Parts: sequence; structure tokens; C-alpha cells
Amino acid sequence: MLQPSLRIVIDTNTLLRGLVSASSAAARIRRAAEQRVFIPLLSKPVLDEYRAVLLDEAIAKRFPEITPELVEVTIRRLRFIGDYSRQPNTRFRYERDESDQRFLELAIGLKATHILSSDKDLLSLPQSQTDAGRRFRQRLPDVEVMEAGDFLRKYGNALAIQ
Amino acid sequence: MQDVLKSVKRHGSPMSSASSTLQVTGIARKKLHALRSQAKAAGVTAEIYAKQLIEEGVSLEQQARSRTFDELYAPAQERFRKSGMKEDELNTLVDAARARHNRRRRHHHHRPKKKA
Repeated sequence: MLQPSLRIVIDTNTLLRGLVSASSAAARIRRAAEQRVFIPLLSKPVLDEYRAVLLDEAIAKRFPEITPELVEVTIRRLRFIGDYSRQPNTRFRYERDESDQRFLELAIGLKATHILSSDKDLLSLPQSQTDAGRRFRQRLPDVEVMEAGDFLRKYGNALAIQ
Repeated sequence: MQDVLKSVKRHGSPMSSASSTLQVTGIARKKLHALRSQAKAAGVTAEIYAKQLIEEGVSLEQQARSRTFDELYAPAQERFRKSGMKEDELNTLVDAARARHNRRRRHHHHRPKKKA
């Protein structure tokens, strides 16, 4: 049985799927976080992105139920169940997608064990032969980057995720 | 917020919670100025405005601690389920929203700072 010490960075796509798609792998993982099965990691730059996306005009048009008040409660609940560092004290330059830097810096700063993402660039980074890939392996040698579904297949039973 | 809450005084009966006074110190000058400006814009005193902010914050925090995301997002989940929308479409929506957020951030960071 795995100890509840997994420390997981969740990208914004996985977060939104986990919130609105109740039967998705991302939702099962989000419920596990709420049950303290693992620790979601958070920083101000990441929470700022979550907030901006949840409040985005196109998202609000599709989901009028996601009100500013609900977004505020969401951010607070994430902080209630997660570990937070305002600004991880580290830099990881990632030119291919600078917006992914905040997730990588959070993973380094708060010693993540996993990054859950559906972004192809991020998913391929641990195996990449680019300079960024080499730096990733140097700074995050034991971190797995995977999609929510793959995480469930690999760890779902061990973590007793329903 | 806890670090700025220095003391709590209660007036009246020890059991009464309706007349509590909270003294807050250590608020940065800029923040206090913003609070006063916002209060003025809202047409209330700074004290009343601060009380509203505290009450709203406590209420949001209570919700955040007591209600699950499934409870909070049940209406949005129902809409998603009924819409037939695919998870890939959600990804596309999020990608576009992230791009807008990043453009705004870059624009904000590259904006020339006003001289004092």
C-alpha cells in the first residue's frame, strides 16, 4: 500500500475536467485529493491561472453556473486541501511553452512526485533530448508526468481510488 | 489574515457573539488606502466595508471547508453531462482561456511603469 505522501501538481485542463466532468478520470483523482489520499500542490501563479481560466468569458458562457463566488470558493477549497507556496523559490526556463513554467517551478519548489497533465509537450518532457528535457531530468529525476487516466491505471488500486 | 488579527474583545455577556469587536493592526498603508477608496466607492464607511469583507470571507471559507467539489459543481456537471460535450472540447476551451490569461499577463508585465 502506498503511503499518502504523493505530492501532485495538477494542470488547469485536468482541474477543469475534474470539476465539471463527474465521471472522468480527473474527477476521480480530484475526489481522492479531497479525501486526503494525496497532496495537491499550489502556488500563487498556478492559482492565478486556475482563477483566470475558471472566470474566462468563454468558460462562463458554456458554464454560467461557474460564478465568481464559486471560483473564489474553489480557490479556497484547493488551498484547504493542498500545500501552498506563494512563489516557489526556483526558476525553470521552458521556452517551448512559458506558461508551463509555473507548473514546473511549482513541482521543483514543493518537491512533487507527479505532474498530471494532458499537454503533449509536458508529457514528453521527461524523455525529451532537448536541453529542457535534460534539465527536467536533472531537477525532477523522480517525477512522473502523466495523464489522469494513466495515473489511475498505475496507482488507482494501490491508493484505493474509487 | 491570522497574522494581522492581534486581539479580540467582547462586549457584554461572554456568551454573546453579536457584539464582538476585532482590532486589526499591521495593515500595509497601501492596502488601507485601497480599503478606504473601495469603501468610499461603495458608499459606506471603511469600518462597515471591512466588516462586510470579513463576513464574506468567513462565509466563503466555511463553504470551501464544508462542501465538496461535487456538491459545489453539481449544476455545472449536470450541464456538461446533458450537453454531450467531449473532454477534448473542454481542453480546447481551457487552452484558449490559458492563452488569453498569458497574453494579459505579458501585456501587464511589459506595460511601462508610471513615474512616481
